[in-house]
Amino acid sequence: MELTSIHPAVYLLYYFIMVLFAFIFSDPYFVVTFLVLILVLISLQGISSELKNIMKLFIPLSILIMILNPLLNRTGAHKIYLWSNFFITYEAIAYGILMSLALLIVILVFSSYNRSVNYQEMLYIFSKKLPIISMIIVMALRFIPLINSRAIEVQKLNNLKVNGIDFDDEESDETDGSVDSKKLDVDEFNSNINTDYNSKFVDKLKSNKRIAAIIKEAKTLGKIMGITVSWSLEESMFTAKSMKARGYNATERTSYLSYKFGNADYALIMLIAITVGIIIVGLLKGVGMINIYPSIDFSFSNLPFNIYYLAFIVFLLPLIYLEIKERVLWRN
Amino acid sequence: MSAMDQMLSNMTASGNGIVNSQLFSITMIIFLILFLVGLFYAIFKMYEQKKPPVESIVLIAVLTALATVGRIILMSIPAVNLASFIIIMVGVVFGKEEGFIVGALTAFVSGLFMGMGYWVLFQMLAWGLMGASAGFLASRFDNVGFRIVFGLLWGFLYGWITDISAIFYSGTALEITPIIALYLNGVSYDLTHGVTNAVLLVVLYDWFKKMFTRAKVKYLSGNQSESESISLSD
Amino acid sequence: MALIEFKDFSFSYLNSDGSESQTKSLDSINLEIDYGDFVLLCGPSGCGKTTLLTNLKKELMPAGRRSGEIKFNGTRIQDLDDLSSACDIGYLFQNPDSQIVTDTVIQEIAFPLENIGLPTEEIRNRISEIVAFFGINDILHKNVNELSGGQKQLVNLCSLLVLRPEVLLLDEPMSQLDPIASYEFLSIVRRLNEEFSITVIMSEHKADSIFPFIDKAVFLKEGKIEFVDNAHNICSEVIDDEIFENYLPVVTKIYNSLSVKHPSLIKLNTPLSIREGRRCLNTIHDDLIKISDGADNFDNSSSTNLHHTSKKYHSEEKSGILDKISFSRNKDALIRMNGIYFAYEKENLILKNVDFDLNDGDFVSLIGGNGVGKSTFLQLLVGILKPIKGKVKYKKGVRLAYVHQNPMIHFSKDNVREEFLESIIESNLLNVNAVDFSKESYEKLLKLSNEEFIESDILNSLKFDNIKFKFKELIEFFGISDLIDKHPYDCSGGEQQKIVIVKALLQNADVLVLDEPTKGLDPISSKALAEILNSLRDNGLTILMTSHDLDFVANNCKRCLMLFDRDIQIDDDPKVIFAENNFYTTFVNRMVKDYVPEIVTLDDLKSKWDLD
Repeated sequence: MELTSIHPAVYLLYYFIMVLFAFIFSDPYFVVTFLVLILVLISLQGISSELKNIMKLFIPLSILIMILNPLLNRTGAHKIYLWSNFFITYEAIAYGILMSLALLIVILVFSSYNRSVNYQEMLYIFSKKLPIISMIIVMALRFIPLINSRAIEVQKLNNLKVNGIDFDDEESDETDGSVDSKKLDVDEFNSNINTDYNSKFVDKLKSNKRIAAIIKEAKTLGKIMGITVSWSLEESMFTAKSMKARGYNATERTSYLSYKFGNADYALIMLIAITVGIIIVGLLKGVGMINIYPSIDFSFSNLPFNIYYLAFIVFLLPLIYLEIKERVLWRN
Repeated sequence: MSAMDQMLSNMTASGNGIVNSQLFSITMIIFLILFLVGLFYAIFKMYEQKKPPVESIVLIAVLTALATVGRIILMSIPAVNLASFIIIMVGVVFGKEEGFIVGALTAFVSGLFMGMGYWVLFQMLAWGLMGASAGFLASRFDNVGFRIVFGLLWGFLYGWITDISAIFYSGTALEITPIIALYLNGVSYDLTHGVTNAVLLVVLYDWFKKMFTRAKVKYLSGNQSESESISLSD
Repeated sequence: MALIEFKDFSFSYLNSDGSESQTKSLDSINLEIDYGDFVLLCGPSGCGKTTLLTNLKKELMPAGRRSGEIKFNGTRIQDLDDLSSACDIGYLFQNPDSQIVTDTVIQEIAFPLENIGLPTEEIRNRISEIVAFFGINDILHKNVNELSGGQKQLVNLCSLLVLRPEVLLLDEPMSQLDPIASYEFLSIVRRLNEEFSITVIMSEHKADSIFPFIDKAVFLKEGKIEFVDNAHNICSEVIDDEIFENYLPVVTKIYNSLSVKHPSLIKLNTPLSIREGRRCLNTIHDDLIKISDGADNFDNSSSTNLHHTSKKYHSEEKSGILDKISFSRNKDALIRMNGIYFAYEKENLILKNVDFDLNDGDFVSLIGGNGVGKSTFLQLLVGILKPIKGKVKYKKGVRLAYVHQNPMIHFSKDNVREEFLESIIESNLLNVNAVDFSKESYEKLLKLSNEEFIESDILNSLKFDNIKFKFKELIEFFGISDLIDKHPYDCSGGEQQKIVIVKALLQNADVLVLDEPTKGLDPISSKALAEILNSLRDNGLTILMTSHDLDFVANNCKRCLMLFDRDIQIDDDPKVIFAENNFYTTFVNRMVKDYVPEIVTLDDLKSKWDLD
């Protein structure tokens, strides 16, 4: 969102409550509403590659939960016999599905959070309390691409075959083996990388072709890693000097960023306070939660059209509203 | 099959008997989060209160960045986790506090890259404890056997600690299903992670110890100029 | 009162064991620097330039013993309070990358302001001011790793300037930049000096473009000030000095040589820039025409020769196209690139249909603007990058050694000795020379003393294919016998460069591929490198290098490739190329273009005009 600025602390509060709600609500109407609205929000914010990555990890997990729960959990009043006396329960299936949905919602909420609040805003909140730690984080963020590019250079260098480059393809491929057998193994003399633990077990391992290949790979990786690490450590000594030269530690630090509470922040806080208040009253009355075990007490005909459900929807709407408003403004 | 069956159904039955209150689990969640946030805050604050020199700050930042790169570079093979090795080595050479901080911050910073979520808190805990425990046991590390056991063990411990977040998925705190699901999901991951740790601790331990020790001496010995040679051979 | 005053200042470092080093890194320095001065600090590596600069900055003062004192504005440097030391004295390091602390440009510029505890409003005011002055609005929110080296150094400079310093200490700030970025950086520093009267103390090796506007040059040698004077005077003072003569601008060198024969020149001010130099030459215009014409025949023949070669070049180009079709190029090429295409990302080709033959005994240099793909070309040639289309073919048995721009990348051991042994073991030389080598002999070699190691029989019995040196002679030829037990990281940049080249040679290479070996070298080391490379070539090694140093290329290489627009634009003798060029050419050529357009190096000029 470009056209409205919301204080990072307000965001933090809002999303934190959302995560809690994701755990609390078990009424399918509430859960599905939550899921739909958060999906709308995410699609408005744009789907990031992180989300895809996280989904890849969590989809198998939720499928596993859905399958395992009925198999392992036999409580529940409604039994479904699959064969002879092996049964699963209707409650366990419902529970597995609801659990997976809750999991999905939590992931989506966090994904949306990552889109709304950038790391600078997040660090801004910390930097007041933990100035050094947040400085370390900023520096680490600066070093990561640098170290990454160094690692790539080191890795490239590793492709250089000093000896026995593949020569003119047409006429090569002779007597390579004999040369190889005579050749000394560089790694044997490498004091940095230890692989010569003498024991029968190790020898046996090494004689296996696949393991030998893995060991070789590991050595290469180790060398790339080692050079990158020592190089980076060495260079960063200048970073420390440059920080000192520019007065780090001279006095208490301030920040060039400032986030002020604006009208939008107050409005959002008011909205959160009112809706959450209503929702909590509802929760205390049991609205939004259902009992699953021992017997599921939910029926689809119990439509939740009441003030609590309305408050729940309103609670989830403000960001969606702002995103849509932004689109309209851009269009004009 | 039937014996296993019986056992499991007994376990879950007794589990269900105890809790049926969602409020209980919500309170647990809030307490857990507050506890973790408080723990990290306390440890970070302890470090800040020592007024660490600039060199120490830069060192922690670089080590954190190195560990994070070690994780991100191999994101395609998620279980091969170079970060753990670096964190353990930091603990061994620089001490438990640095180990914990580098571990916790590595999780946090990778979270900034790969997506923040509640799981980051548990990764922070797991990696922080990994670094700190390596610091506590630093004197034992010259023994190869110990290193192998340590590396393997932490492969699994890391998995188990991060899986505590399973509590979040269950309406009832002691529900067993999600936990089992998570462990089944993670066994091969944990094993690979542990084996990677062990292999790296066997193969690269000496080199990295030398390297880190050199950095430690050079950083903390103050302002020696680069043009002047300081021989720091171990 | 001067702004900065050195009074009898001496300094010696502490050794690693805490004892004082015997040699003084700075020895009785007496120096006064006035408000608004632009001071250039010169001297060979290790002469104490960095030590002098760091002693001016309280936060960076090295540990060691000092006597005498340095006063800044009348206060001893040590007695400055933290804030004023941080603000008033700005210090810029060599490497643009390692001094950046945060990840975005605006954060980096804000960093020092946050450090000194300014309120947010004030911080933003100062940033906006500096951004407007430098016109860096468009990179303000960029991530620093997207910037070029020159931009990074500029951001580093901005990050000092927001503190409103009185003095800028610049420690070889341009040594890692390409010529264009260097020029931009320099012109900004000059502007700061002229328009804001910020005092500048800068150490730098390549003084050609700095000399015209400095107030004072300080020439340091072994911790002592050898010469200190304004630019015009110092040029005449150091004429006969073996070391510092090299630091003078080419213009001045030509003037000095000429004035021996043409005493009328002595009355004039020593010229420092090409403009002044050409004016000087104008005063003896007729004489110069005469001596240029004196060898009338020679001149004519050479100028026709020039046209001839350029014609030849064009015709070669045509036949080159035919070659591509018929594949009838030099059969003996060591490495042959055929129709190479390369890109890091789709749609953005770096090289397009490049053909190239590297012949036995070549000493080739690769030149061209920044970012035309010189490093990429080398990496494709040695096979560490794979072309997207096309093929690189190698003659059977050819061995390559590649030296990266950054020598640090080649080191993984604790001392130079182990680095060398690693290369020897990799080289297969031990087998070829039938040396019995085992783990024990390796261990033994590690335990030998420095001299014993260099003299050891095992290593000295090795015969290299292309160079006639034995191990010991090689080490001594490079002058690195003292470094054997040092940690490679503790060696200076020039030393690291040499160690890496020796490592490459120990691998028994046939082809030596060097990426920017002249980067950051002082003139003396640069000369030494040229000598080394030439004698290696005479030994039979084939050398391919990239460089921004056109004088180095013109003086040493026999063949020069100019990359442009994704292809090799010109492939010829560098002297022919530079004689043809008008802008992209050596200082010598720019200076004497009117009289002897074919001359591109100082040595050629001297023999042409019969100087010295």
